[in-house]
Amino acid sequence: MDKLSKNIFFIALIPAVLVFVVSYGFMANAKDNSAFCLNDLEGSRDALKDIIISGYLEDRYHGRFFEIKNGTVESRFIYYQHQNDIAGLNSYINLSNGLEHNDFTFIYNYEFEISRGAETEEHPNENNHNTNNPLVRSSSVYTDSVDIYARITKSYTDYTRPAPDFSAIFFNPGLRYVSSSMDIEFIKHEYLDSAGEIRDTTHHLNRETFPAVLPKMAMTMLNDELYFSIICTKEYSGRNGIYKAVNFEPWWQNSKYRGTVDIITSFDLDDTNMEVLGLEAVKDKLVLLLFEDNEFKARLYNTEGKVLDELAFNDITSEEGFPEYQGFVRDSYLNIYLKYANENRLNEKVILSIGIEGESLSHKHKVTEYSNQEMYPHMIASKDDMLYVIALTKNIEELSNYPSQVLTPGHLMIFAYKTDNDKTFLVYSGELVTDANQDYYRNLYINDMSFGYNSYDYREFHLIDVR
Amino acid sequence: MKKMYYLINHEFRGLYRIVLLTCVVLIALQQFLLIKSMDYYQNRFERFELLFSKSGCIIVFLVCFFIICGLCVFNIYSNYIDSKSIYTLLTLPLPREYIYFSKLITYMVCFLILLASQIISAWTGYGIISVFISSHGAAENFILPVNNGLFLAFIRSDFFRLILPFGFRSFLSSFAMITSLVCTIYYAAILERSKRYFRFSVVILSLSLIIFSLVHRINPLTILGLYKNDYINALTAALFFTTAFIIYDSLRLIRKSAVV
Repeated sequence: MDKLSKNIFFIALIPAVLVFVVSYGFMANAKDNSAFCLNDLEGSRDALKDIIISGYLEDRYHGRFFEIKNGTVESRFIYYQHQNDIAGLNSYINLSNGLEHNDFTFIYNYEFEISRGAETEEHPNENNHNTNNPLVRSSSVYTDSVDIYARITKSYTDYTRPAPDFSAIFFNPGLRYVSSSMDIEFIKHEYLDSAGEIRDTTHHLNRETFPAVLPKMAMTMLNDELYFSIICTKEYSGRNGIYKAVNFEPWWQNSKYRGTVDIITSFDLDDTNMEVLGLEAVKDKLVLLLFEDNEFKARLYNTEGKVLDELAFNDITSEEGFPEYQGFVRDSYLNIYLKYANENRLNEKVILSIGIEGESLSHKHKVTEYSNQEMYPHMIASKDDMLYVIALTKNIEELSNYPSQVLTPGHLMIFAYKTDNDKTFLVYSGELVTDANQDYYRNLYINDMSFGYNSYDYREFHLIDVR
Repeated sequence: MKKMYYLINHEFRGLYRIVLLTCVVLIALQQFLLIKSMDYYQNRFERFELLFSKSGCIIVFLVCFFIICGLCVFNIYSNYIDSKSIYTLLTLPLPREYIYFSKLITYMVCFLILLASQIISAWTGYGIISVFISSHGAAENFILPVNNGLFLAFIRSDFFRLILPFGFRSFLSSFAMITSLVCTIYYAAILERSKRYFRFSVVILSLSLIIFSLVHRINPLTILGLYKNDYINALTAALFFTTAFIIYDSLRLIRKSAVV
């Protein structure tokens, strides 16, 4: 007992140290304790022997970098100690309404105004004064013609910089929407002064009454300069084109048409049946993706707006609706994924690969697939006669069983296609099977509204690349 | 060294009962809170690291942590009250540095035991929760407990990342923080006893560096665009330098008998 008392320090110290040693031993062992393997579903894995597929499965605390080389999966654990370690944060981020380039973020939005000279009907609101404020009078103005203005703001991606740079372009492309009836509502606010005189008047479009799909914008960077076009369906009239943002001006300069835009090329939408789907920069050229007379076309432009070449795909049409589009530019290839939202074509996916050589376009690969799997491509890459697609797939029927598509379990699939005699066919499909992404499950039962806010709390695949 | 070892044992004998009791309370209370949190049905689907913080276990740890801090302060001042044993200690035929380091090492080990208890509590808590969830059935298509759940909890909890860092930089930072805290507590008592009130600025500096390090360890992974610059190495270096100065100055004051 006396011996114990004389060595009480060591008796307490050794178990405490052992706890740490055992814990670190456990962690060192557990860090690679997850399944990560390639499961062949169709064809031979030899189809992957010429490429290396790499990527990260990560949340904001840790990641697993994987590489598929010669058909063998290798992966290693990475412990993140600072946000600069997070791979996905340091990559190009595809924003829903803009893009990031170098230190800047470009965000677009549209403003809608009643066309000059358009017919209008004004109906004072029952409660004439907005929010019971006697100095604000509100009414509904109905019209059939709306002019659309584009605004692009440019700001530093790192908004904590001491000298933030907020500048913008406000631009009138001449785009117009004309409805067959007076059903487009604008909320009009008249601001009165104390004498009852009108001081200011504003009109805001009630978007729910706008009969067409609201326009989006296709943006791309070429030689560090921003080029853009307006994505709109054939219901729109007026003008569209390819534009270059030349000069952004500080947003507080209260000029209606601020900033400078160069018109690279312009199309009259009244004379042509044209719908713009996207704009991509490949090497030093611009590729405009469009539907003309419902037929899908890729048109190659130089930066002066001269048409260099055109490629038409008469079996891809917009007759049954405008497809969603995702583009992947690798070297001199533009790889495109098209998906229709139309109910009849929900299972149809089109993957295209277009080669750009000098001043001409060439059709490399084309795959039309019908499956009940919703596809979210991470990367589409071409190499010689092969086309590789790495995508997260989710069962379309299962999507409706979950609160959101993000929560629906997915499979990271690898597809390899080969083109022979102008025909593209599947030579391999496999799934990267892992249990290291089980984070979705908790959200099925917990009403966690933060999911959309910070997806980095959950393990997802990022930065998937094919070399 | 034998004398030093004797002194450490002497100091530790006065503290270990309360330290062990605190650790037992910590483990027992945390298990109770974790089990109790299972009453709320949705918690059964929660990640362990989030369940751990939501159930109040971190608060229990903080209370125990401050109890150990208080115990260290009490131990220092107990030498000055009643028996005035500080006089006995200072007149012992051994270098005065031994007195300083024996107390410092004892306090460090007290904190180490507390941290080890916290890890034991996490292990047992995870085991209990896993068994509970497995035995109470789970919804269809639901895989529980998640593969590698305890490891993920250690990796993904800001709290466990402080206690059990898995990266070298983080380990150095945690080590610097705990060493600095113990030295600072002792230094504050030495300054007060020797009436060197102006040097309390060093105590404030050290505590500020600890707080900055804590903030910087937790926030850089919140992905809000803030904390883009990585200062953790600079903060760890600053903590080590401050701690070195604190040890040097404490020894100087003890050698000068200024603490009597």
